[in-house]
Amino acid sequence: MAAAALCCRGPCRTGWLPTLQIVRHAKSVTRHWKAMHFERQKLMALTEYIAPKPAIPEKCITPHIKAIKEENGYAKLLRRQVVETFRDSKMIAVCQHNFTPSEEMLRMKYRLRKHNIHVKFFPNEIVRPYLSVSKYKNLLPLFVGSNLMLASPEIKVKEMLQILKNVPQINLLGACIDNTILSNQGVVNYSKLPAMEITQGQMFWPQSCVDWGRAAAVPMLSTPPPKLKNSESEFSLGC
Amino acid sequence: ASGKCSPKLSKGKMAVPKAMVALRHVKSVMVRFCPFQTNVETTRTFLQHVNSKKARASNINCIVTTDVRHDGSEPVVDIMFADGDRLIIKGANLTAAEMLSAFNSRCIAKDLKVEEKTKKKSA
Repeated sequence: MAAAALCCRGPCRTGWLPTLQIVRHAKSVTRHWKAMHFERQKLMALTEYIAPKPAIPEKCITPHIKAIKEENGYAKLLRRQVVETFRDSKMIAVCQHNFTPSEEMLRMKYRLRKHNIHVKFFPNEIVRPYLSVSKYKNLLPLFVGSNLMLASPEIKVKEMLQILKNVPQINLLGACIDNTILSNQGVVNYSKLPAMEITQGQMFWPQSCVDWGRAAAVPMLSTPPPKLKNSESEFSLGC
Repeated sequence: ASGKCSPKLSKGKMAVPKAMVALRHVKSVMVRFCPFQTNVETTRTFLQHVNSKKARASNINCIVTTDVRHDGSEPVVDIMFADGDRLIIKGANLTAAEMLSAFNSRCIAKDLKVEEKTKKKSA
């Protein structure tokens, strides 16, 4: 009987009679925080320690040390790429980038890549600080809004303009060709210039003479003047 | 590196709200600016919105031309509507939002006119 009562399971579930209530293991946790007597509570509140406040709060004295914000690694990478692009490219064209369907963009990139012209996208926040301290300061007004850059280690202006003609969404704003900043019209005029060899030949050799004479004269332009005099007399007999 | 840089590095920049530009009633848009001037940003932003995917899809026949000059001239947007109206916006002292709202308000007015006409016809 007692054992059955101690187990507190089985037939006891139908109802608990006070006389049959078990005593052992009735409560598992018995050590509860006991509230202080009310008078003791009052005494504790009165005798609570209040630390003396300094005349000048510490916040005003100690300097606020600002945590050094580390630069974003991606921004560093982009900046390095911008520097490399401007250093290694002889031709840099800046264009306004409006929405272009992906296929057209891909086609344009492919055609430009055949002429070793690379399409670069850099955020203005990266390019502008670099330009402001470099010799390309005058290109700063172009880098506003959505842009793209066409960079090439060679000067292929004609090819670039021919390809851009087929993409009306990309508008050429200006370019830096051979350390010379040109406007849109300047780039177009540059593309119409004849090749350097032809220009040198025209300068040195009169138009009435045969073309092979001009071609032969081009290497002479790089020779020093005393030697040039002797060779001039040799060529003048042919004209 | 080719391709757009997707992480947003700019903070606290005033952005133009994504206004929907509809070119339904527009015959042609001509944007003229000198990129070496400092007051060209808003006109270029307007041009970007006019050339957006949704704007172009609203009217495939609309001709959008860009005239890039180097003569120190003021940036101008010349819009010719299909009904013969013309809107010239001088963007030197305007924000892109103002230019877009001026353009959109006229487009909405034309939409309402067309709706009224169709109602009268159906009635």
